Amino acid sequence: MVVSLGPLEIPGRLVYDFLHIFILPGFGAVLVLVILIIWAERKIAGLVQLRYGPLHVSRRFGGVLQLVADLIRYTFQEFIIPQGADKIAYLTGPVLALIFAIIPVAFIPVSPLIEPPIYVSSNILVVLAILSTAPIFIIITGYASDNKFAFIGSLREAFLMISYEIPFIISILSMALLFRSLDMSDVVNSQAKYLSGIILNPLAALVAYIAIIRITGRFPFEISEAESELVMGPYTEYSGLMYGVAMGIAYIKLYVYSMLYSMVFLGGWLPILSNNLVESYFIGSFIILIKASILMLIAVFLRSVYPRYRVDQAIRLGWSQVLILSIISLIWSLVLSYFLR
Amino acid sequence: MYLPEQLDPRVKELINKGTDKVKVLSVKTPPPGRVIQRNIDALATGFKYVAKPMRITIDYPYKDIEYPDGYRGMFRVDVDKCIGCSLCDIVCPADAIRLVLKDKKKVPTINWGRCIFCYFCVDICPVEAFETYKIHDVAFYRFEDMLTTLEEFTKRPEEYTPPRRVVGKKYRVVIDENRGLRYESSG
Amino acid sequence: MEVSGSQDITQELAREIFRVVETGVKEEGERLIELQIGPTHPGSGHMRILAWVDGDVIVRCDPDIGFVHRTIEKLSENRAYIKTIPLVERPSLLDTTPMTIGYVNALEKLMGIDVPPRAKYLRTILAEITRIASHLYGIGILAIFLGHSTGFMWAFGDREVMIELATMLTGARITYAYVIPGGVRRDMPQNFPDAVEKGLKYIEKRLRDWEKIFLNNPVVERRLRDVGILKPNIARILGVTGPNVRASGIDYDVRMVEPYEAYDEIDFMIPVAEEGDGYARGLIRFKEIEQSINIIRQAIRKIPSGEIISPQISRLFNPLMKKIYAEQRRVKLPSLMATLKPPKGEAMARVEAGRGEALFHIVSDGSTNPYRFRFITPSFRNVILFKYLIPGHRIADLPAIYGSLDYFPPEADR
Repeated sequence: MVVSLGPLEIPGRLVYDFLHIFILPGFGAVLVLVILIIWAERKIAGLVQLRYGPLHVSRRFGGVLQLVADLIRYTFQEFIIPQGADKIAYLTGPVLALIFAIIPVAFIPVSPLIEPPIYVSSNILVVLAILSTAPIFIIITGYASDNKFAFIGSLREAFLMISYEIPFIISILSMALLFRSLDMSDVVNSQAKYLSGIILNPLAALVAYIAIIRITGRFPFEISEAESELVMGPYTEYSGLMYGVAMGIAYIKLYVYSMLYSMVFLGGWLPILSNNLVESYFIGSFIILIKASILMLIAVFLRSVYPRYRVDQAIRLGWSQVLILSIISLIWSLVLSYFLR
Repeated sequence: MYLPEQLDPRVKELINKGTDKVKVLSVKTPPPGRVIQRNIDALATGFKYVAKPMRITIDYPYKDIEYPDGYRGMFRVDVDKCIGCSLCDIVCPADAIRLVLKDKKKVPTINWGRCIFCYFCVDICPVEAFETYKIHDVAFYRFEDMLTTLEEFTKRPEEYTPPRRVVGKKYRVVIDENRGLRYESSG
Repeated sequence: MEVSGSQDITQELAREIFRVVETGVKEEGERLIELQIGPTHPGSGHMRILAWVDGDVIVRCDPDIGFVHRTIEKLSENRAYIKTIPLVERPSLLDTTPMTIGYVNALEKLMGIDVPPRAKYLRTILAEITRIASHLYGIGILAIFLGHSTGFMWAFGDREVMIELATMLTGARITYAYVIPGGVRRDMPQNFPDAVEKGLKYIEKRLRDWEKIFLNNPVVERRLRDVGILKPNIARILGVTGPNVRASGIDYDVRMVEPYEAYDEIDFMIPVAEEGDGYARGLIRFKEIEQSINIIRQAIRKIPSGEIISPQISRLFNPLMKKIYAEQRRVKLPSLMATLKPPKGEAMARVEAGRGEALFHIVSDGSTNPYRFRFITPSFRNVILFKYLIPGHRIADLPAIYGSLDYFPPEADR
């Protein structure tokens, strides 16, 4: 239900696309939120571990600008390319992984009254497909560095990507089946009519969250970049600005996955509904960001509590328990959708 | 590689000597299971510390620590008390003390780069010529400055150049039952 | 034949295992990768571990030690006996007191000096405080090798309480040089027993939180159970020592077999487990911390009053030294200490350090420097476990086994 703007259609469309892609919830929000989430991860870890965490850089605000200082330092660090590495794959691998991790933001609607910049009627499926291609570039980066530890890291990433993407896709599709639509706006409007997705199908919510923790490499599934076994996994040979990019990929993926999760399970821009265009855009996107932030905070809190799994234990967990739970959630959705007309 | 059957009987007797005096506490590893409850316990314990932080570290150098009495820090020599017996040079384990002649008497100067702060020299001096302080974190800009001359070794640590720049108040470390270490400001 | 470090062996089988593991792997091929987990690796410490890996399974593992060899034994041949006391503390930097106790015990046996009982109790108290700090370090390293950064930070934070207690007693944080032939250098300050009681109560309170977040954590259990199983007869043959063998069922502890200092007057027990896997080794360290808390409490209650330095040394004091000893209870060293000349002969002493049994052997030829000083540290005896325990496990088990063995490279290299 898109409101027509009359003679202001095309300039209005351009203005909205610019705001959506570059400011909110696009690059601007990604930058601010990634800085805040990395700061929150280190601060929460510090609170649990009886110490201060980052404090020195901007003392009056509790060290919030620590990551800005880190990024400035990475910019001026010497960028070394190993001699035996495949130069094109080495240089473009992390960049392409970043691009494919952030493209889905253009597909996600943040307001019931305005179309997203790229509108596809089955945008859940398109977002899932694009997000599934990002790990391939991580595997390429690990293979392109001339290093045994990076190679082993890529192998682990390949195994785990297959085992955990499948349950994630099944649980998201089970929600789409429940609400009988592959369009995120329709899913959110159905949640307004009945109940939110997490109450209707809690099993799918649990399975999807565990899969998100694995895909973005949060503890206890931080296996491909295990620091005490492989020095930094696929990113061992990176230094300088590429290292900063490589570290940021995981958090950007966490952001996009959290936005998808909050649309499908937590009700997106509810409970605020308004008819004003500008209000619905700003307030809607803020509410989605708040819900995504809560999910991200829980995911980074797990760093302080869990160690990491061994790779064969994680694969066994994925194929035996998580996959079966996701199939049970699919059956539950089938049964429940009969009663929701 | 000696297998148990090949050992000399006298060695076997030595191996088993005294083992009847050992008092054993049998420890059983807890059985696996109750996975969900243990996960929730671990998460709740972590969350307890987020809700009520209990910091055991101190924000140095904005706050400074005052060590307990008897802490082994830097020291200086009182040339009038020194009798020139050179015992401090003989006993130093790191060869950090070097003797110079002053008024036909051998007095010590120290190399702070080598000193391990064991206080053997302070304890062996028969006339208590060393005066000790509780400061240990004086920084030097050049390696050669660590080899003190006699004039520098008679200075107190506060008077060294470059000066020790700690900008905070002094806090004392107190051991606490609930928090581990607590810091009380010492006026 | 299946090669794995965790089989039951007979005489012929033992020979077969040693032969196969020595010559099993010759070169890298299509399936075999040689990983050099070298000195500049976050999970290796000060040593290099060469691991041949087939897929994810390690088929052969060689430890490459010697990176921090500081020639302590040779250095002591050119120094007076008292100068070796700080030197012998430096290799095993976490439990420094048992090392000095061992060396000084050997020296006292050689010279025939008796130690007054109050000095024995003070040495025992400091040794047990250091043992708690050393076990906390071992638990912290196990945690960080599994990826559990909270366990690492908590271990070092709790260890700080013990170090502050030692600072109150001796004046230094880690390298105390507190034990000298004939007794100790300082007496307890007035507020020491209260501070010790508070510190011990804090550690007991924290052990309950440790159980919930580390020992009962399901992920930690999955990583450590049935990993690196050490059977008791293999442990006997290889000659390993410390909490590693106590987790395999062998009840051996030098503090009970050949008591030194005040251990024969204190009532304590030795925790022994049966399983021998990594989880049992971690659990034994926690139980030993509880036993050490018990020992410290008894020692503080039972400590007798009296001298802290043997009369054979305190009769050499001049009047100023006697005055300082009477007022401040601080022992000044008479000038004889700098040039000790023990009679010709040799003496041996052994102690139970945090990681196992340490042996000290001094050979003297009547001069001020020893003729030969030999000491064997427990980590040096445990290195062989890298070679025979790891093959058959996966790459991710290597840090788990390394952490559970509590191997400290500078202590092994001396």
